[in-house]
Amino acid sequence: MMFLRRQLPVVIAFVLGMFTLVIFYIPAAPMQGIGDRLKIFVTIIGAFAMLLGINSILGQHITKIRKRRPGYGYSWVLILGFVAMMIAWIPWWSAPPEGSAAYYPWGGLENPQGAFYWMFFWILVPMQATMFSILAFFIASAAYRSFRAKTLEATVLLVAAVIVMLGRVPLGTSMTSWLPDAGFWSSLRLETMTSWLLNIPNAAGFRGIVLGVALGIIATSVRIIFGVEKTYMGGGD
Amino acid sequence: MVRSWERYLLYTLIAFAVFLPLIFPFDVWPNLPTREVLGVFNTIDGLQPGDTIVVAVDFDPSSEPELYPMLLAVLRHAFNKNLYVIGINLFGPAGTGLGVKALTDIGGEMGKVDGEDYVMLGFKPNLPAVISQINSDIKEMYRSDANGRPTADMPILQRTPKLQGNIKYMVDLAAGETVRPWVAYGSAPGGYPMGAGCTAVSFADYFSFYQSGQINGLMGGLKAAAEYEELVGKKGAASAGMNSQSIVHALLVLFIIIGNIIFFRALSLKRAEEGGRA
Repeated sequence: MMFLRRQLPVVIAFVLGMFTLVIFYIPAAPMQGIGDRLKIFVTIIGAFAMLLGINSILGQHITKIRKRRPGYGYSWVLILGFVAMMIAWIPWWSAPPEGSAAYYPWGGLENPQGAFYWMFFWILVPMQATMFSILAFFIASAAYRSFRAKTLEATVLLVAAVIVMLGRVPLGTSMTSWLPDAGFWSSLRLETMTSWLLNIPNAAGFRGIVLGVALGIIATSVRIIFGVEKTYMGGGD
Repeated sequence: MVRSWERYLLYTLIAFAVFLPLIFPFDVWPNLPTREVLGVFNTIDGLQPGDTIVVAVDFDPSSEPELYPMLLAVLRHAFNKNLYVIGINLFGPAGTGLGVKALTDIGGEMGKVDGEDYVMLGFKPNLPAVISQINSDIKEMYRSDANGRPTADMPILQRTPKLQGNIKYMVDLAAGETVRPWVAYGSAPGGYPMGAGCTAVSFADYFSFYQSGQINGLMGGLKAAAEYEELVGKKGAASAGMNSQSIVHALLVLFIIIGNIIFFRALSLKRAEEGGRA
C-alpha cells in the first residue's frame, strides 16, 4: 500500500518526465508519435481536474445550503445556474437534423433562439463583463486615496503612471500632438514617452521576472522528476 | 482616508465620464495607429489569399468588452483578405462561445462557410500539451469542432492538418497567461510568426515578448482594438468606447493630482502645528 502511495508516483514521474525530456531532442517520427500520445493523455488528465473542480465547488455550496450558513441563497443561484447551463448543453443523441453536427434540443451555440445561447450571451457574458468593468470605479477610488508622492520611488511610479495613462488614450496623445514628430522635441510627445517607458524600463523588469519564473519552473520540474519534490502527492515528506 | 461622500462623488463622476460620451458620441481626438498594432495589421495585410492563420480566442466574457471588438476587427481583416481562419480557445470553456459567435457573425457577413473557410476548434485543457500537439496534428487532438462536427473530412483541416509549416500567422487574443505558452510551444518550435492582443492591464506584461521579436505585434486593450477598427475601415464598439476611456483616464489623473494636493496640504498643516508646539 505504501509502495502505491509513495514510491509508484515517484517512479511514474521519473520515467515519464525523463522520457518526455529525451524525446524533445529526438526528432525521429516514431518518438514524436509517442510524444503526441503522451500530450493527449495530459489533456485527458487535465479534463479530470475540471471534474474535481466541479465536485469541489458543488460540494462546498451544498454544504452551505444544508447548514443554512449566511448567504446560502446565493449558493442556490450557483447550483441552479450550473444545472441549467449543463442541461442546455446536453446534445440529443439521435440523428441530427440535416446539415447539423449534433442536435441540441435547447439550442447549443449555433441557435440564437436556443436556451443555451440566450443564457450564455444575455446572462453570463454581461454579468462577467460587468464584474470586470467595475474595476474602473475601484481604480478611481484607489488612485485618489493612495497614489501619493510620499517618497522618490513613489513619485517616479506616479509620474510614470500618469504618462502611460495619458499616452494610451487619444485625448492624451492629442495634448502633445503639436510637438514635431521627429527630432529631440518628439521625445516629449506623450505617446513617445509611453512607448519608451513600456519598451525600456518596463520590458527590462518583466524580462527579469519571466526569466526568474522560467528558471523556477525548470528547477521545480527537475525536483519532481528526481523525486525531491513530493508535495504534488498531497503533503510533504 | 476617503469620506463616503467623496467616494460617491468619484463614482458619480466616473459613471458620467463613461456614459455621456457613449450616449452623445463625438469625434475629436484622432486615434493614430501605433507601431505595435501596425505589426499585427501589416502582417495580416501582407498575406496572400488562401493563406491560413490561427486566431486564439483565449479570453472569457470578463474580458469581452476589450478583446471581443479586437477579435471582430482581426477576423474582418482576415476574411476581407480571403484568408482561412482556424479559431481555438485554450483559456477557459466560456471563451468558445465568444469565438463561435464572432466567426459565425463575421464569416456570415463576408459570405464565408463554416468548415471550409473557418473553423472554431473549441476548448481543451492544458495548453502547452495542446499547442505542441496541434503543431504536429490538429485532428488527432480535435476529433470534432466546437459545434460537435467531426473534423476528419473538414476541408479547412484537410488543407491545414497541422500548424507547423501550414499556417502563416498566429494571433493570440489573451486575457491571461497564454501568450507565453503560445510563444514557447507554438510559434518558436512551429516556426510561424505570432502577434498578440491583450487587455490594457496585461499590456505591460507582454512588452518584453514584443521587444525581443518573439511576437511581431501587440494590441493592448480597447485603444488597440479601436486602432485596428480604424485600420480595417469599420468602426465598432472599441472606437465608440475610446472617448469614454480618454475622459476616464484624464479624470483619474485629475483625482491623483487633487489627492496629492490634499495630502501635501494636510502634511504642511501638521508640520506647522508641530513647529508651533515646539
